[in-house]
Amino acid sequence: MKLTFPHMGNMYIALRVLLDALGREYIVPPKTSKKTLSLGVRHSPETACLPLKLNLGNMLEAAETGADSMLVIGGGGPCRFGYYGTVQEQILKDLGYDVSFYYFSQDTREDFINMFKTISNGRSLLRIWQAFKFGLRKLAAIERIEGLSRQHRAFSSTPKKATKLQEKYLRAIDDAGGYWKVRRLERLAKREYEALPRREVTEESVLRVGIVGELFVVLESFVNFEIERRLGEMGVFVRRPVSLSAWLHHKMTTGSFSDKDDRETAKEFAADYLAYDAGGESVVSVGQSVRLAREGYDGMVHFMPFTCMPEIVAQNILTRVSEEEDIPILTLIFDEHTAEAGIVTRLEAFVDLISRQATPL
Amino acid sequence: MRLGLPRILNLYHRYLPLMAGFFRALPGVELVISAPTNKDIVARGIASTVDDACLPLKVAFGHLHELNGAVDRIFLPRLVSLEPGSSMCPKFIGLPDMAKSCVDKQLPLIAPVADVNRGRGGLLETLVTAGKELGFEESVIEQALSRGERAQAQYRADCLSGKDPVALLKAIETRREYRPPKEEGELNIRVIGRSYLLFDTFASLGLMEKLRRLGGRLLTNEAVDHRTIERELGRYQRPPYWTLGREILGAASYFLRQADTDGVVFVEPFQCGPASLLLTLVEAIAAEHPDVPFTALVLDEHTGDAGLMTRLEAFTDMIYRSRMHREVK
Repeated sequence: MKLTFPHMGNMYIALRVLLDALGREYIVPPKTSKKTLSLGVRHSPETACLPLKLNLGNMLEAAETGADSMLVIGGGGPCRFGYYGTVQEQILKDLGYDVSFYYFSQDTREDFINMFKTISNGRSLLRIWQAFKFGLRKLAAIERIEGLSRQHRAFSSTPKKATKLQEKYLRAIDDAGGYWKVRRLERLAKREYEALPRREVTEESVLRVGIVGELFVVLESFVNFEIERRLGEMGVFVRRPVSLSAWLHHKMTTGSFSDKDDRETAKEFAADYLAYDAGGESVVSVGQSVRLAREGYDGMVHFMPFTCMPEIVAQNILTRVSEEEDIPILTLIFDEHTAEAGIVTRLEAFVDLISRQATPL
Repeated sequence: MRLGLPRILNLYHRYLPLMAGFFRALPGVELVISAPTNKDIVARGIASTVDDACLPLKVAFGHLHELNGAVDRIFLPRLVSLEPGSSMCPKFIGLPDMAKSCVDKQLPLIAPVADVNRGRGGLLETLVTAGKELGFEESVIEQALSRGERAQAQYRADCLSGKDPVALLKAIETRREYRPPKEEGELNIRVIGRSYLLFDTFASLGLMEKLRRLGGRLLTNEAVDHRTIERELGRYQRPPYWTLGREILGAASYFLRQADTDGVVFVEPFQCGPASLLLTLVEAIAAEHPDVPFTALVLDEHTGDAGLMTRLEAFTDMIYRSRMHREVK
């Protein structure tokens, strides 16, 4: 059994910790690339959403190097994400691959624990749980570093350095062997970021933009053409209230991690516009847009894959949010035909627009 | 008191008997159903939503425009889950909110929630809530509800016995006798899809009528009972979690395996999320039964009449030819 799993942001770092602890043989699929995309697109249903296609590409690339068991997330709904596995399993079967699928079910905590038991390789549940928690700790550390990057890109005179630091620490955290090491890296990173030279701006004069949208597209910089970095390098402060660890907490727990997560806050802010969770990140997209608008942010960028059901709901509602909360919202839709230049042009125009609004003549 | 019921989604194209039975039994309530979908309705729907919405959603907004201002209240429940363990698609869940954003913020909606998975009651409870909101006493609501339920059960039984659902719904709406479709051929064609696309003659470009004219004797997934659907889904380790997706996959699986099926047409709206994935599974079943002609059609507001006709003709030709082959053998 040679395990593999489709990519989603930095999830592989947490999964690596887990699978190492299980003593399982596994392959991390090559970083998502143009090749991944074209492989995935070739064999996917045409109007399936982009994450399905990219994940199928990840699986095909991993299978080429010998992976025969796919670890996927299943169940949940009503968004399509929870049903990817079943469809991908069928596609791989039709293509003649002899692979088995293992589903992490989102439906109940019991399902989740049973899944751990299936792949446990004889290790104790406690040991697995510890590994999993350490994996989550690493993700949290990486998200903290990403936060530092967003902060310092906007205020630094050398924003590209922030990106370099981020890459460096991402690798270091991936390699780190224990909690104390991760903590040390966090401290070191903070010091290094703070040493970056600042440009001559006041807190108030920097434009502030929030990024919301469908999780996968927000997390995969290959898909979204690193918009977060680009905005930062334009001197814009970016806030991204959507993260992998928050999503994992939401999916895995029935409230045991934190008493009130970002999602609950978002729901409260969304209440006047979207009174019920319509799946995926829909309620977060709406709620966080309302929240950041009320906090005086200058604009929102909303990401979604083409045909994404929950985000189409959000998009329909964001037009009203934009009007009533008086905040410009740019929706960017991604599929295999999306071109970098088109996205960048629109992003630049958007930043021009909000900067003109922020400093009236 | 004029109560509007938009001619959309399963509200009309499946649950009209329940809706009409219930609201017509409430004294003083005049049930107003929006006009059949037409060019104008579609155009207004398209203009008020984002480009990427599916056709049924665009049509739905058009109907809400139609009712807005013409009635006192509009019944538009939020359908989250209608039976345990399955869920409606996100667009059903967000529909009342989207309507307020896309059609009119002041839309006079009655929008109770049906979410059995979270213990909030199902479709019947939404009617009870609506009845209360309209100021009726519980005894009146109870009576109206049992009329609606009876009508719905009768409709279901009629569908299962092979009667044409479109004609049945029309009979209920106009309070006339059921009149079966005039033309009916001898090809056992099975049409799989969402009732709110298939039964909307304008949005589906008369697909069902066209097939009948080409010699089809049609059954849709409405003619397959719940037990059969669940049995067919038993073949899957992980059946879909969408209520309508389950029906579609189950019915497709059933029809493709039936000996008397001459051909299966799978119809989906462009941009339909669940359908985009389910087609892969349906095609896999079709591949196991190469002797049953199968075609998948994707419809949207740009689909042309002639293009659709050509494809349906090609499909029925294929059926005739495969029949000839069998007879030669």
